[in-house]
Amino acid sequence: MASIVSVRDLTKEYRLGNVIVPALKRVSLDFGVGEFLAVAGPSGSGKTTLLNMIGCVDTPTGGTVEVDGEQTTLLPERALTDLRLHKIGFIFQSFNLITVLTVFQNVELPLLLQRVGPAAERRRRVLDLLERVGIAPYADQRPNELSGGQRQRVAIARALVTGPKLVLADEPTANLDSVNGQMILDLMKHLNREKGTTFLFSTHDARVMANAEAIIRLADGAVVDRVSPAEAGIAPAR
Amino acid sequence: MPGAFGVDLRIAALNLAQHRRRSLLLGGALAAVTGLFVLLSALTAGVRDTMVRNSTALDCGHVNVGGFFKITSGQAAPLVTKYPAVLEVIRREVPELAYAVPRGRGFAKMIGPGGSVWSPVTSLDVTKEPGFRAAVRIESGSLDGMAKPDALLLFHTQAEKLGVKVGDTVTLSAPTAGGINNVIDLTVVAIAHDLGLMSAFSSFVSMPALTRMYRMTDDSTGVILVYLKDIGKAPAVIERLRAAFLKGGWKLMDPDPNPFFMKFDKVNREAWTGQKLDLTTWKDELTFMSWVFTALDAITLILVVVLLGIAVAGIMNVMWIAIRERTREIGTLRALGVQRRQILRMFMIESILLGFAGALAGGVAATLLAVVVTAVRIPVPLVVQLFLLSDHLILIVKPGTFLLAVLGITAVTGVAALYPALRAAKLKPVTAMGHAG
Repeated sequence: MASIVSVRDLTKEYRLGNVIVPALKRVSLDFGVGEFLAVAGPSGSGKTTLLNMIGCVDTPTGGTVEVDGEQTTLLPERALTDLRLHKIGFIFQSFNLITVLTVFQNVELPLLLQRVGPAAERRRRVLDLLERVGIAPYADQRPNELSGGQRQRVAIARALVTGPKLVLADEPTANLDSVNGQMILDLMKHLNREKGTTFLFSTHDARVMANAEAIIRLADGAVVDRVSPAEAGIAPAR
Repeated sequence: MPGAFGVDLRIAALNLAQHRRRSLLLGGALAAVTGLFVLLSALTAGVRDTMVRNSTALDCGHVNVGGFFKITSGQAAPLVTKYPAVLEVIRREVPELAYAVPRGRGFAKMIGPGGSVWSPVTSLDVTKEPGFRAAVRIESGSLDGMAKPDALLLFHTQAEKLGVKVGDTVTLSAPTAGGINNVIDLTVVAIAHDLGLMSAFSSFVSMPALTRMYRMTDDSTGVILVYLKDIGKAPAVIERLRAAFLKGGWKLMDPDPNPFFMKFDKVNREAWTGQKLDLTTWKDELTFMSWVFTALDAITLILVVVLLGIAVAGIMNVMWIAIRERTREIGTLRALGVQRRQILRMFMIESILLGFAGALAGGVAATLLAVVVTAVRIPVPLVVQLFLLSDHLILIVKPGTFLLAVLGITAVTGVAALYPALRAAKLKPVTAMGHAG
């Protein structure tokens, strides 16, 4: 399987006054194209930091990150922003929708940033995706008029609308009830299978891990192992 | 295709709409600053225009061709002899001419039944001076009476001091260069409303009256007032006339930017005799009032600087609040692929939009207010009338000032937002989103 993300000796340290706190310790990993992976571990284990490094929203202290063949540690800020725009989709724990924009406009935003045109083409792609995530009737509403589950669907649509190769989801179900959480995971799995998009999501919830093809377990900033849900003692979901 | 700019514009406009209260507050403050600036400028322009219009109607022309005639070196009289020839040169050399009129100049003690006052006395032919007719408001009598050979026009306060009304006789006693006083009796044909400071220094008689008082010849006058279609052309016209008079054999005094009555001592000390012409602009003749313009400009400048300081502090403060409130949004946008320069542009657009809307609203409101205030003729206190040369407030909003205010405040708003916007653009996505591992 071809690799979409390759991490080598990745280190991240934060400075708190005179104290240096290691968040990631020489992490090395490879993710294949089309994988549906969970990064698991307790709070403070480095899950979000790892996702931030792979997503190019933070810079490592040491080591390298390669995304779709590009060494991100060598790229300038502008190129990193372009890489995020064209190759990576983000789904956040708190949805992070732009409150002044409607559902439609939120999903259209990455297409506008990519200068996709004409408007009819953008409209077709946005409505198609809203339809798939079951949120099309709310296209003209603002995020604050939607439930948590609905907002996360909008976030998923926004992450996928440009057809990124990699989607990073930081605890995507943490702010949702179990029913809505499972619906979101089912949706992500469906899109993963249908489009072949690589999904990497962080969680510390065993029910969420059960949906993954493989689980990368972190502890104290280091990779413990990479296991299947069964190997982790979790019954695979449906 | 709406590019990134379209997205920035949309987000900026929607953010302004979303934070309506804050936008209204800051927009209102900017409108108030712009409005005050426009009103202040309108007041300055109104005062300046009124002063210039009334001063040039009563006291001097846009360009003045005066001079001195000296029988002996120490006896200067403010005269232009053989003035029809001078007038001919003016008419030939000044295509910008609206009209040119001769005026006699004198100084006399006016004696009436209630008292006496010393005053400059000017002769005029009111039928040839439309500007004079427009500037002076008659409270009793008629300007047409000035056609009579022994006519006298007084201002309200002068008439009150002399204790005269229309139809009464006033005796004028004018000291001459020869050391004797010439005395004539004139009839008051009109009394005008006071025009501030100028009314204390102006009284007008018919042309024949002054000629008779000073035993002048018919082809002599005090000064020729030249009125132009555009007052701004005065310096250029002066240069042209100087060259023409020199070419025509006239002797000219060196340029001296002062009114004629301040030049007697200097002229009397000089050895020459005969006729010399003296060319001045309205500014030269009104130098004694220039401090009023300077004071008005200084007051306006100080107030504008203070107001702008308040506006800049307000804008920066509000932008900091906006950026603090939207740090997470900035982080999200950066994570989604929005470049730093776009974040900068987004906040700049937001600020400039708000600045422009506020400034435009303030400018329009102030302009309407200025029109209303001028139309209802709000009376001003006597002390203000002295300098205003008008008994009511006149506010003039000039298009250039309006544009300067609106665009200037908009630009200042943009500049004030630049630093906070730069700071917002420099935020790391992860820092802005506030994530921790």
